[in-house]
Amino acid sequence: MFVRLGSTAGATPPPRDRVAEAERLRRDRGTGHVAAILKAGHGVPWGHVAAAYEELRAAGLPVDRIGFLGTQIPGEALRAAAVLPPVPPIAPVVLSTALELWTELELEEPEPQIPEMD
Amino acid sequence: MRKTLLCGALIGLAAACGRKHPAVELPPALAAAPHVSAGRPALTVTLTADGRILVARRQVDLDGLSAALHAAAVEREPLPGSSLYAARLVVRLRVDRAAPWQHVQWLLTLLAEERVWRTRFVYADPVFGEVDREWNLPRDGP
Repeated sequence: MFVRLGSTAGATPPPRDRVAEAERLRRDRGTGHVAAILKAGHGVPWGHVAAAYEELRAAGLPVDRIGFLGTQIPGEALRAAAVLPPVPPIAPVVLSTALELWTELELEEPEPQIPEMD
Repeated sequence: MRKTLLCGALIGLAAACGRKHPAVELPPALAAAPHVSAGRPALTVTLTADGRILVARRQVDLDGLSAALHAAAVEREPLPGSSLYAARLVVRLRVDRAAPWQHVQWLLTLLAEERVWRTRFVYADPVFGEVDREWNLPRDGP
């Protein structure tokens, strides 16, 4: 089962919301393992993807496996796989034993920087 | 297409300019995130914002990257006749924060195809400088 963390409307939730949701899921399910499934638009800067991973690590979540949406990944991910190229599938044993954490990044443009006023 | 985007027009040696590795704007590290423990020496691959790939300080294209991985794996641990030559190779990926995610995917896909599963991404830490984060790729089997 995939757990979607993020907005389907295209907005990326604040980092603290993703981390809080991940912590709640881990507590409720009683599992110590988290596999992160990254879904990001092609144009998303690497810095955003890296930051999402860093946030999860900093929260103490054992995100020790990373998956990418691809044509060979079963289930819900398959239907959304068109945006990414084929990649090696995640081993079934991983899918069955780990909590899947779907970190969704759909930012295409960075937030505008507003200069400070004196 | 992807090779064109990633490699640019120049193939050959990149200017080292006296630096250990080519300069890129790395994503910032969070102090609370765990650092990777020291292990076997890793091969450093750099992806710049404009799509150039460098192995150590040497610029390569995607085909050249495969050859470089082979060479590095054999240099570190010769395994004559083994198809898993790169399975024990550790690759550090220094990716500019502005590089498109798609370019990173291509790198990861190539690494997975070459059975290089043990990867690290490099972040910039204000205290420790460059720090590594483990980012192991999924294997195509148990």
